[in-house]
Amino acid sequence: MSPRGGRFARFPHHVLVFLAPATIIYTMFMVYPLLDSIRLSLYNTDGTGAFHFTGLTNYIALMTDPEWSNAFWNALKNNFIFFCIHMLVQNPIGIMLAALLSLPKLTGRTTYRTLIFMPTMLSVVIIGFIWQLILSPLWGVSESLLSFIGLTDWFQPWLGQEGTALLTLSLISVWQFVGIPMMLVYAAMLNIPEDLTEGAIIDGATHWEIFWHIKLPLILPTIAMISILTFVANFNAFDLIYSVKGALAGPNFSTDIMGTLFYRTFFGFQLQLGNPTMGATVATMMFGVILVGVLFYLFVLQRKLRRYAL
Amino acid sequence: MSDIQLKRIDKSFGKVKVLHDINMSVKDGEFIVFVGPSGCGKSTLLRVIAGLEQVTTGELFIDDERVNDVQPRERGIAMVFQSYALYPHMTVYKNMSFGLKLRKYNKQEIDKRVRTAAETLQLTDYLDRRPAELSGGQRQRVAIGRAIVRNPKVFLFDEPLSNLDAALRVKTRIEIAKLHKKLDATIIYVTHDQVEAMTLADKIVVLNNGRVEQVGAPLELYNNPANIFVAGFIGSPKMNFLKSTVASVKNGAVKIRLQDDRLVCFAHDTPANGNDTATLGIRPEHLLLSEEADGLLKAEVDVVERLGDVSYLYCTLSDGTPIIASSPGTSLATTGDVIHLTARTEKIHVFGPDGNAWK
Repeated sequence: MSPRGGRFARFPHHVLVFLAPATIIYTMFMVYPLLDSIRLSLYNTDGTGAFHFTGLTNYIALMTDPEWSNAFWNALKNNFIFFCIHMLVQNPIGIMLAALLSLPKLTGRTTYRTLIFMPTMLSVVIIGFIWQLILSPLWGVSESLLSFIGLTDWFQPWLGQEGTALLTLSLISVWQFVGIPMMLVYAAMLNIPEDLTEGAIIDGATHWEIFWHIKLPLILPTIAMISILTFVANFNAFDLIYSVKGALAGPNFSTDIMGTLFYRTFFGFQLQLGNPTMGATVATMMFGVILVGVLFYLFVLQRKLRRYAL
Repeated sequence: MSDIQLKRIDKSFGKVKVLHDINMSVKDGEFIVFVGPSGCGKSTLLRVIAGLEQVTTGELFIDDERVNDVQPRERGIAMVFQSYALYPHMTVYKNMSFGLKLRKYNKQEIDKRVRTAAETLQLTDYLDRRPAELSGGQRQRVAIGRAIVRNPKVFLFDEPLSNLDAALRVKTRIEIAKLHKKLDATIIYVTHDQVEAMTLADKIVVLNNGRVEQVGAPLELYNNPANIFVAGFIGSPKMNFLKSTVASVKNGAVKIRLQDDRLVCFAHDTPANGNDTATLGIRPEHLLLSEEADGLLKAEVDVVERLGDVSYLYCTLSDGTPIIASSPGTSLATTGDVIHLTARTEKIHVFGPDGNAWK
């Protein structure tokens, strides 16, 4: 290898200087804590507070020991339901709203856009509090609102029943965040040139056919991105459940998701003591679930879906 | 039968009126070109006919049916857009068959039509490609193919050649002319390029500021422009305009005074008055080099453009008016020469103070 022409001879060392700040900060605050909590999940504590390496015992306990596994599988199942409701309700509604907003002749476009996006900008705690008041059987307005249209009998304390609490919370979250898919899809639709829709109109397409055959295929990559954002956000969710139902995620853990399970496990809450190693195990499982989802997006969805130059 | 009639069409966007009282009729099989500078309303007029814009007042008929409130898809029209507007996620085949599929044609019929059109347009080898994998000229042909398969009553072209390079533009222009002969279709074509208009049209509609300036066959517009705008717009290089005054009017004979007190005389019954201003228009190709004694204009040559068969002399008159004269390619005139130019009286156009042609 010649002293000057070799691949390694001329490594531009100065790039390290430019890479260093980001690398160091990212490592300190992201990579190290992540690796350390994975490490922590492989340990156990005894009565004296000393840590012992126990390998995968925590994971096995979490998944098979009834003391842990009931809560874990329940939380995982609830979390999947929570996610599915978002995918089936939030995203289709978001896409439809975006399609309506991008209709050529619509008055009050910006007003609708702002109003629909408003809840997204409010704090989750406020949203939780508002909806708890609205749905309260004691002083909530929903019962009297239903009575105006003669549906008083339909009213139930939806947040207080095991069968409906998770669905209700999911829909509250959908209501709050529907603006995000709407905005992303709306932006993607604005990118579709008007000529294309006009060409389709001349070709004889109705607005619905234009949406279905022209716009939807062109925004598929955006929809995939929204799906993965929803997935990550839902499996990291905690705040809405905590602010409405507290860390016990009642009634009877029917609204317990991974976030609330982690909180109780790690910090402890009323019924149990905090357990850092088991908490780290739950956290690592959450990380694993999200990792699988993101990898699926990166290696399957993103490679299959083409972005077309418009 | 695909007659189109426009009766007193007005179009406004909010308070801005872009089309004023357009009246026109297009006969079956005619190739009509709307031409005018950008912003003159020609594309809007095309979109009104297509149904992409509603008329504000007036009536539009296709085949004697009033179509003001008829949806574009029911008007029996097809349109080729400047940007081609091909569906980027569909192959050429699907792009061309999309309209037929929406109309629920059966598969064999769709296939037959798409393949026939592809053959006409030499696209058979590209049917499985997506628009991104095609060149500009090919995309253009796909856009035309998408229109042909529908077998429409009227084709609308909105500046279809402006995204192509010069050589391809000339080639595609000829192909469109051939296509018109072959399909025997009614075509309305919008362009800002007067060469395209002259070469393609059976009938040219010159638009300016939302008004029709003149309608006529290409040579009619060239030989008898109705006003200064049409005279200046049609023909390349542009017609020369010379400010002048009416010297005398006697027994239907008008005398016009030019620079250096030279006079042009012609018969005309417009009651012009002495000292009225008038504008003389002479096309560069009608200016002839002459001896000083017979010369109408005396000019100094600024620049000579030699194109081989013809040389354009860019000159300035003594009063500073720039004019262009075309002379044979063998012309020896060079920069700085003082030349004398004349023109045959019948080739000289005269426009009154309002811009309308006297002759």
